[in-house]
Amino acid sequence: MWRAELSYVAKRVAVTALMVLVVTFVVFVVLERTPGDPAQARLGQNATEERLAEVRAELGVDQPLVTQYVRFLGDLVQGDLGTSYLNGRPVAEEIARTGQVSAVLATTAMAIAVVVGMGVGIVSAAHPNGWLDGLLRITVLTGVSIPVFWMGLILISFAAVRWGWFPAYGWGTPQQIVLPAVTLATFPLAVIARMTRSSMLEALGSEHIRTLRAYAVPERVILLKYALKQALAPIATIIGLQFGALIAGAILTESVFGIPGIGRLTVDAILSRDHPYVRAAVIFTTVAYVTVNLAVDLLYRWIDPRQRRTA
Amino acid sequence: MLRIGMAAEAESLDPPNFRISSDLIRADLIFDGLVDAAADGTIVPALATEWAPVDETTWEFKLREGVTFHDGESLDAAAVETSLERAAAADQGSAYLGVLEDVEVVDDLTVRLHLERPYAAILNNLTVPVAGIQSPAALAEHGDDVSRHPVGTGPFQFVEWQLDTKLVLAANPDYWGGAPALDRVEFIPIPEASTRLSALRTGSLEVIENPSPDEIPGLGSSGLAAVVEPKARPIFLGFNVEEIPDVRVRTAIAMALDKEAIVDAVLEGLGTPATESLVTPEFRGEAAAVGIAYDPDGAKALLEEAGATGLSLRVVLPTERYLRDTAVMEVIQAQLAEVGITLELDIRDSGAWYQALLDRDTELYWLGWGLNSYDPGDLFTRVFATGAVNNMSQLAAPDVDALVGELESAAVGSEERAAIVSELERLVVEEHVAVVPIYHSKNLFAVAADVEGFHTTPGEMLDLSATTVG
Repeated sequence: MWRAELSYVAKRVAVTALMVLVVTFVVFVVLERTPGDPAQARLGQNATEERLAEVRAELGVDQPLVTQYVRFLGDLVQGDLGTSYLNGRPVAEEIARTGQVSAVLATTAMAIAVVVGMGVGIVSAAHPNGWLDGLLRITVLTGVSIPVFWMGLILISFAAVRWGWFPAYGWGTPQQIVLPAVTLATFPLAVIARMTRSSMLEALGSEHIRTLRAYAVPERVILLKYALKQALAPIATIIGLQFGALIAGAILTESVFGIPGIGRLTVDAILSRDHPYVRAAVIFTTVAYVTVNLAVDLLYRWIDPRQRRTA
Repeated sequence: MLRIGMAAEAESLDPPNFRISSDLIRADLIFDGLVDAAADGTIVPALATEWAPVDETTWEFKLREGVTFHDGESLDAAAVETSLERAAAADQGSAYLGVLEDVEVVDDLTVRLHLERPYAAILNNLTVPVAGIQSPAALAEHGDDVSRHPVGTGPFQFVEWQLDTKLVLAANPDYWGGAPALDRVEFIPIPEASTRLSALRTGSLEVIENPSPDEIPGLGSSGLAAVVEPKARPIFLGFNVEEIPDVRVRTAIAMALDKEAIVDAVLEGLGTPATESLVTPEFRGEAAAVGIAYDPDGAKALLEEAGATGLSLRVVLPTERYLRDTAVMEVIQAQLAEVGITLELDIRDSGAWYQALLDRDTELYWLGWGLNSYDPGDLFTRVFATGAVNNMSQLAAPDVDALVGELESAAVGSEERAAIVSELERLVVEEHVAVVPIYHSKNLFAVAADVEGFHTTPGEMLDLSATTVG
């Protein structure tokens, strides 16, 4: 049993490594194809041709793409992500600094999304088509439809400017995490709520639950123990998938709230043609995304033993 | 305390190695140069109290007595030598000080600057923050890492820098120009304009840069105020003369543009129509007006004469760099359509836009050029001299080049120099029609009700000498 699990994990890790390799290559090609010159971005409008050539050589961007890529991979396996073209800081440190912030933001948002989302879904499913269900469904529909950016601005203008409950920007204090986390949580929360409601309803309609009802098991126990357990697998899958949306949302959320996270810094890096930072940020997010999905996958197999047979 | 919300985080506080223009706004408060520029462009004393040319390529400066750096070291000629020679060799510094051959220490408080060739505008270039004098002890201790440990003689001294969170400066109580009224200044990067404004509204900032133009009219009702002051950055529509070789066509396009309508429609007082000059009006003194008047019928006639009817052109512009660039260009597009020219907007992110200009991959281009050394001559040298890196128009005019050559020895502030600049302006705008000046831009800030005396300079720096809070 354990050996089978281990070989499954090993296989997934190998696939992940391969995926990172493909992603880095794609990023390399895309950055190379983007108009704009890193040397120019660094030297500014008064740079001379000679100095531009020198800096291009210094950065290695005058080499053929394949040479650059091979050198990059060589450095990467040694854990060297290079230094920023723009400010010369080690990229690994920068990624650690900003990645940490984004990880805290994303985890908090996900915790809110999972707890509240599943809560809403269960309440909805407990009283299908009642007034509460109707209200929650409309709210959830709104949550799915609101652009992240707009949600952030609305929260700032009410909760920060009008009511003064939370700071409008920044990072570091517990108060500062509330608005961005809620902003970022909105979309996954709504998706999780929908999935929870529908899979709970499906579970509640199953013969297994009908039998339990016939045995007069209390409704609360049926709901939170038996039905939820049955409904959990698809919910877990959708939670894993939400991390993709979370990464996209984090870029906007970090920009709106002025948070020094990896998303906002990546946007800046793209605009200033800071290729080493962009590459490292993409690798970081790819690994984070794939790791989370691997964890969800394993969890899923644990929740639903039937999955293990198909490995 | 004054907390300033900025659109971008600084990259480097080492002036001659600055990475983005926003770096210099911070560095300018920490460092002083030998000389400074007043709002009308005249050169005034800073760390040097007197200066005079010794000959065409040598300048002597007497240093102010009793000035100390923030680390307690005293300012002397050797410190000036170290700083300026380093700046002259640096990536950004060399653009202004590259002409500097070496700095000679005459005595403790006297230096001589030896130039490679006559270069009258060296005084102007010494006012740019890249020429700020740094503590030699700090340079020796930190090397290039001085970008995170700046030590100067300026009104504010460096305290700490939490990346992407805040940069903290404190008043220099021993400042030679008198200690500033503010005890502390913080620069806080918040890229999103509406969030910056919200932070100002909640009272967690006292000043913000570049509030969205839409928000300006509503500032007063919430107790805030806009600070809109002249900026030495003309914004112009440039022609790639290799692609549009017929000067009649270029003139016709200039005649088709109603600059006042453009500013009224889109910029709402946040710019001044450039109907009478390319050079920042504040720097021109009494010079005669230069420009091609709005005359759409004349434009049509001229296009017909040139056999250029049904013309279709492409303009390369950045998404959001100056002010409402796309909206401004849409008005220009509509005005050109009136005279039968189809203008295609090629809108790119700022890196790609600038690359297209450098590669001369344009027919028309949109550009703003900062006169940050307060020297109009600099604009013509860098942008319109044959073969200059930033000659995006690919202008190759012997008369322009000859006058640019004369600038090298024409004394700053002299009538002779003003006459050369005036003639250059006429040649570029009216004769060769390399560009159509559209508007003169403004520095744009918003301040809280209790902030008094917050000002900016035409060189896009902050003047906090009279700023108080509460």
